[in-house]
Amino acid sequence: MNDDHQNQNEEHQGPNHSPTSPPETRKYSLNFPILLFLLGVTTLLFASQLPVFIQRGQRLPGPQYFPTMLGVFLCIAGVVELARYLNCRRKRSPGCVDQVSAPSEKLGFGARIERVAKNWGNQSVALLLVSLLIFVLVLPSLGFVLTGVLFSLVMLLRLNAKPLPAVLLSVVLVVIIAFIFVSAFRVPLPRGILSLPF
Amino acid sequence: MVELFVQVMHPSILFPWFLAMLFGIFAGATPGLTATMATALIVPISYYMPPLAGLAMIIGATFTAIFAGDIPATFLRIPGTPASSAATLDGYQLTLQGKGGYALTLDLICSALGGLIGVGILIFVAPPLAQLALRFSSAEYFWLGLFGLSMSAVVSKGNTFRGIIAASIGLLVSTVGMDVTTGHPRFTFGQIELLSGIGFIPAMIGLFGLSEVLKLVSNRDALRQPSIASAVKISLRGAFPVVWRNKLTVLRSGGIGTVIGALPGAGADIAAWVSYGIAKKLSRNPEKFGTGSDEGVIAPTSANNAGLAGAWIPALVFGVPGDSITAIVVGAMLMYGLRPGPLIFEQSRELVNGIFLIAVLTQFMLIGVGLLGIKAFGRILQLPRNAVIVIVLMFSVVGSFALQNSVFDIYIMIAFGIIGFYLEKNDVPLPPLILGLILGPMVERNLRVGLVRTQGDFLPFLTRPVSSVLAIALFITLFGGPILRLLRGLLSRYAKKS
Repeated sequence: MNDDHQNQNEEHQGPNHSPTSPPETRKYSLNFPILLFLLGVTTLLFASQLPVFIQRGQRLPGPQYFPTMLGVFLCIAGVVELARYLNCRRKRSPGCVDQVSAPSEKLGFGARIERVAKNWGNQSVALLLVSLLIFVLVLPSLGFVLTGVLFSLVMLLRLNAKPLPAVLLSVVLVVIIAFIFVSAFRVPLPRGILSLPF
Repeated sequence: MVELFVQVMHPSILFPWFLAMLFGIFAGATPGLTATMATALIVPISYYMPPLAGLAMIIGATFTAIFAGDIPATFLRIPGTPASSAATLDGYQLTLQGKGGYALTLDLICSALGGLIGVGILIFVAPPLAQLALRFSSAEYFWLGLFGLSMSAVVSKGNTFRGIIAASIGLLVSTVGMDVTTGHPRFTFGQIELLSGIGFIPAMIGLFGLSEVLKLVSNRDALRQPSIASAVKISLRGAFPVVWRNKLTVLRSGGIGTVIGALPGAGADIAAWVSYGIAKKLSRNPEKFGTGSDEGVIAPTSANNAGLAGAWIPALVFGVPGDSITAIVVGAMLMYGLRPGPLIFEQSRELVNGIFLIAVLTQFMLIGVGLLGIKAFGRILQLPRNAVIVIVLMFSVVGSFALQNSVFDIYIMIAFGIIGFYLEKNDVPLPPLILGLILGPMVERNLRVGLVRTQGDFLPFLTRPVSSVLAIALFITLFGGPILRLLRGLLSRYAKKS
């Protein structure tokens, strides 16, 4: 089963649509090939520092062998993806979906960054990740119960939940999770400075 | 056999098994939670149980979740899991005609029958295949691993090349930690936690759990989508005769589903679509497909559960998962100290028989649990999406932490959540990545051990009979399509000229 593209399935596969030929759109962005290439280069750099494996005077595949192969492939993949992106921009094909701008638009770098930053979805994702990181950072000191309730409350309120159900759900959820893991499976969740039961 | 039956019916196995099936209903029927995610969330819990109880939980949850995904697919035209996409077609049309309960009852019976067909094939095919696999050397396992990865990339919807990129990233992640042969640390950057490699469980929870949550949160419209509650009428008596009249469709779809599921990388969703397409082509009334036809419900729903059973064949026999669910299963088995592969049929025969028995019994239990699930559906869908998001987040955090009581693992989970979200935004499929992470050590170890044995000569990898067949299969898988397209283009040009 493929978990990816579930949304695409939901979007595209209506009752009148042929099940064997989903409409093909391909997403391209400039940052993807660049990141891919950088990942490949970084892999090659670190792999080159790994020791070589010599047996009976003969150099054989050692620790650096496999990562080097992968690094080379990722560099090539980055170049191929960059070529595809440029081709997509040049042709302005309707099948090519740029992540930031429409094929007909010519946005500058600053404008592209601004558009990404102002996007509601991107802001929500950023807020969730920052909250999650803060949750994990304070988890050892404040304990699971307190941080768990606070985190789920903040998230629920941000996601348009009403205050009272949000408080109730947060408390019930944390207590149930703590019960399952601490009491049933003997997993010691962080208790923190307050030394709460969990 | 009686002893084994008594053993699996012991409350210490039966109770968590049943609870996991209920969780499977919840996860499958809730859009945004997938069968893979359900498995990912169950593995950390099952770690604290005996292997058979843990596997019963995983088997129970996954088969139930695949069926339960059809529930919102039938009522709302929103597949609960990707494997239920094909069930949106005729099932939803029947709902529009006021026959949603009937469609789901039909679906439930066919899911159980499809699962039985798949498990039956698994029981009869796996042991002889394992005998064959015992003769495999490093070269065969190397090609088998690569073949599994390439298949997962090719059948991933969208772009094959990006599937290969995902598999490569997974392979790269698998190299973190101590080197598989020399023990030298690689890419650990001085972090002791990384010496044992990137934790499979937190990485998987991040890729399938957190990334899905990020996707949901970034879509304002999805958050506002209303859930519905509807009274559901169920009649097993009315559905059985219809299934009997379409027994050939059930058998054929179950068989096709198992074969497709057994192909590494293909899964229940592809099995369902192909079965639907074939059923339509062979039907006496193809024009009724898409308008609420019984066959249109029976074919994909028989196939998706059979596909799941089929995916266990390569996972058990070769240790090469057939899809993302069995990828997690293989990871979980390794975590329990079991090594999936041909030797498991000799070394842990009783456990394998236990798995077979549990898989068969799950199909019977599915009828009862499924009926409960359909009834409870209205209430489950009443849960607002924001609540589902927070529940998944909390379980993701605690599930990542629980395995080693390590906060570091939570950071790994978050990192992989971001990676998964970013990659999916760029149309890069995630199953090849997780397959790469799991198969990485096997592929690298067999490549290097084989090369050390041959003093660096790659030729024996190509000259052994099974190796050469696998290498050719890999070549055809990756380049067969483009070569065919090129030939067709040349032929059409030639035809125009002449």
